[in-house]
Amino acid sequence: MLDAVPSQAPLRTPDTVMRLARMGAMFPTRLSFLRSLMRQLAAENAQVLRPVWQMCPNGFGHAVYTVRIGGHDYSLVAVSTDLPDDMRTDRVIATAWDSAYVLYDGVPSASEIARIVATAPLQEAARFTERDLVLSRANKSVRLFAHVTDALRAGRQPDAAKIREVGYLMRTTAVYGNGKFGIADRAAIVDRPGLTGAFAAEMLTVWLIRNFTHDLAEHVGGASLDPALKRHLGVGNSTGLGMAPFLVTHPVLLNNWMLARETALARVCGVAHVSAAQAARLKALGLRAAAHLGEWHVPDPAHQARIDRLRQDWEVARQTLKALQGEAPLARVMDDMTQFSVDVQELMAALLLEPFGDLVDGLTECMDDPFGPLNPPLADTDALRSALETACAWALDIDFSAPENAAQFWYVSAAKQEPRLGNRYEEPGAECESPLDIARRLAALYRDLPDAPMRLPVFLAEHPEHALAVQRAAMAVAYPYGEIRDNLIAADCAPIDMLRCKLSFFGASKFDPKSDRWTRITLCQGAPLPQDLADADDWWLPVFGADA
Amino acid sequence: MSGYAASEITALATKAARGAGVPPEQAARYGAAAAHHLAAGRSAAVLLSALISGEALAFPRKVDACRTGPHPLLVTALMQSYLDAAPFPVRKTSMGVYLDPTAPRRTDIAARLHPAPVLIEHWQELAARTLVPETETSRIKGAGAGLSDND
Repeated sequence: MLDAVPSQAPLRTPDTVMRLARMGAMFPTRLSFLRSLMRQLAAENAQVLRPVWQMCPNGFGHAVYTVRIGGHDYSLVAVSTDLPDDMRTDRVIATAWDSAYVLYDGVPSASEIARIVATAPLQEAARFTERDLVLSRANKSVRLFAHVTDALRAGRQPDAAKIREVGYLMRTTAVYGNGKFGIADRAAIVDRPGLTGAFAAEMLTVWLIRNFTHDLAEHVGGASLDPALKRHLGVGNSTGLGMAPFLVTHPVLLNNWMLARETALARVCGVAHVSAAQAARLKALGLRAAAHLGEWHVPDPAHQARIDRLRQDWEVARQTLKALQGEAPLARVMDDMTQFSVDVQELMAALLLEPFGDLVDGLTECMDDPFGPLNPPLADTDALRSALETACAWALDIDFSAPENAAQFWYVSAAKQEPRLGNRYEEPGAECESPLDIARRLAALYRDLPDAPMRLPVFLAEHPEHALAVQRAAMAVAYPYGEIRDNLIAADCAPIDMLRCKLSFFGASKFDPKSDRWTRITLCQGAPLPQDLADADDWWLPVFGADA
Repeated sequence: MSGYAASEITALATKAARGAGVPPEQAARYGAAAAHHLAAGRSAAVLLSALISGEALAFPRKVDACRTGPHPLLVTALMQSYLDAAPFPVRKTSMGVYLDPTAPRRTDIAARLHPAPVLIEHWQELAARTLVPETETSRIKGAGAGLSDND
């Protein structure tokens, strides 16, 4: 905890930061939720126990892992099932998975374990209780899981190149929290030390799942994996549109995440001088980032080309880290980055935070949203007009009568009640559009404002359809980083950018986009193993075979 | 059956209000109020009638009016639930009701709720009106699509 507010450089403006193209270029930072969770576990010297392991030789059965955080026990109940290959799909419409998980509040009794073993594999088709905090499932990366277990059975370690190429033994296809299917409300645990941060329980679940995948492979293979290989095996994840609306429907939370990150960058840029040790560390991180980019390969040619460009540009950009003398050298580095792409800029922004945990880490305490919007109410429609013109100008000039500016619509699918994005002119259902068209709503509100000032309750009695836009305009003043400043129904809106922003806050890396609306990622790659928690904090952009 | 999580009720009631034609901001406020209403053990009947009586449209406006100062307010059971869902404590004066901005409070609740099945069914019917049948196009573009999942 800092004794005083450190000096800082000016914040990058919301008009710069809150654009989809830049949000879609974000990298994990030391503020990411997995990083802060690992620090918490390390600070508590947390011990992971495995009181139950009932698994057949082929790796089917169940296990329980328990860890104590902030004075509370939490247990992962993992259920491994023999799934025929033709039933294995990462699609949200799947009904069976290789493995299913519940993060349980406390240490489950035998009857509670039996209940979870029976219900967790059913996922959305089952109902859960207030003791169940998180629900998840994962499928094997069949080729890597089989390769690893075959190698162990043959008395050798698996091929390092294959581990580098895939990076995980299983990938989750959903991680549900906060009341879904009857599991506990987040409010039940939000005040508990260690789980106060956004998605902390979900991140704990993912980290414990990763440990389970290691143990399962060693159990089936009948031998131990090299710890260095294990450390590079994270958890894969397939993420689609289901995650995207969250950033629009939680503007205060988005503001707090982005503001914390920007404040961190501003504090680092405000550092007057860097020590020789800090300079050496920054230079080494630049080299590590280059190595990480070298290991980042994706099948999609367009995205691979983008990674290739980033790799080339980074070789030039990181040279700035070799001359850190003089006043405010890190502000100068960020200034130099403006000649490069947003990919380079965001990579450098994430890197610069790494050596400055003392300036940065406390900001994680500002990344929650305990109350919801607390912005003061606007007095009348004149005040509303002013708020729109000053804080929402980005939305007011968009011509929504142009087909390309309203080409898409968000909706919820009947099949799985999951968010989807449709073409307004080619697909049915626009009459059931979800209210993610914030820019269009702000522009429509602006058009309907009366010339003479009117009290807002009176205006809203006449125009109840504008209530959401009124609220967002009022919030935009108080929470300037709370709104994505792009048109989310435009033909060129790429939801993948929203996904990458959110996933980078989780701590994801190795983004592997499969289209403009879903991606695979890796979580926990390079993260400490349970026995390594004392060495918990240096795994930003991990590189295979290096000291994380 | 261990009941419903409060956040689950909020989500369902919000969708139901949307299905009943309530605009999104007012629907979200209705959803939050519904969870507080059931958690407080208040009569569920008014939750459904509010969707057709206009209360779901009017109550958020009336609550917001109390943020700028004391405001005359008829505090019915459902209105009390809307006030409970506001992030500021309620003060009552001779001039009316106001929400005290100096002392923000948490409004998310952890509760197991056991609403009558008929309420859940009715909400589910209304919520279903907001759903769109998946098209082949969206199916092809969804997460996990287009890959062998045994890779």
